[in-house]
Amino acid sequence: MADVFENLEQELNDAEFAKGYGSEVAKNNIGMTLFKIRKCLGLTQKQLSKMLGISQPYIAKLESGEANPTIGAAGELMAILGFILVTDAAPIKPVPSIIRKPSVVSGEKSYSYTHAGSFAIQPGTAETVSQSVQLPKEQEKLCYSSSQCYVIGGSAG
Amino acid sequence: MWTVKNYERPGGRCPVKDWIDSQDTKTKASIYGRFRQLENEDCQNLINIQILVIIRDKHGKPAFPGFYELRHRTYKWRIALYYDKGKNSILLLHGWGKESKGQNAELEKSRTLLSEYLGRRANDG
Repeated sequence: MADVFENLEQELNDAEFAKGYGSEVAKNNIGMTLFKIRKCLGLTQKQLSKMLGISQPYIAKLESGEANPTIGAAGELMAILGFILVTDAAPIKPVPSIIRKPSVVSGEKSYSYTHAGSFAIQPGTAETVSQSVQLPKEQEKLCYSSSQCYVIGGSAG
Repeated sequence: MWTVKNYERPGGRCPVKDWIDSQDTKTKASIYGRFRQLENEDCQNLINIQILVIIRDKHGKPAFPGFYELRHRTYKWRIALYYDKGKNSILLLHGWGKESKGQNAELEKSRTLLSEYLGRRANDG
């Protein structure tokens, strides 16, 4: 059985595909970040829609990565919930399987990392990404950045 | 973390790969975007955001543990897949989209492929 990401490497040679893929991953990451914040706050989509002043179906579209909010709008939504949106970039080519396998545990919190992402940090926690994620040295060398993680209420990304 | 794989039938054909290859560029990008989520996210999170749906039998019960449908509402495609927890992998069985002739027929094909895989796995020990 072939790993699907072997095909991805070839598809990425097509610039149109790469643009579309980048857009989809960004929307999915923002959506998942919003979903994790909502769960962390113990809110339903309906409660969240009242707080944010947007419809529940739109919340559902945002969370599933099927809406395309501006970066500013995503930042506004998260600010209302007490978070700031932090973005980062990473190589689009699939990461070698050696560093796609493990998850990372730091202190009481458990993290996993992806190779493209956005995440949110609650203001005032004085928590930096380098404090949050301690990658094994071997993996740190392979990773372009150690900040592709979700930092939401201590739940694994 | 899961490994996402195409199911390869006896004889070497990969139904999902063949289907993906026939899609337009934007649809293909949305499919690979979802695969990235499958690889990185907990199954329950994907169910909660309604991009992963349990495939049910005619009585409304889950048809088989680990048997799901991955969806994208904007691009209107679906992929039936199986979480093989013993192998820590997700097997992509069958994909369909706007060209589909009916959800029931597609699910029937998916069930057949799942049975084929499970039979082969049992024989392999």
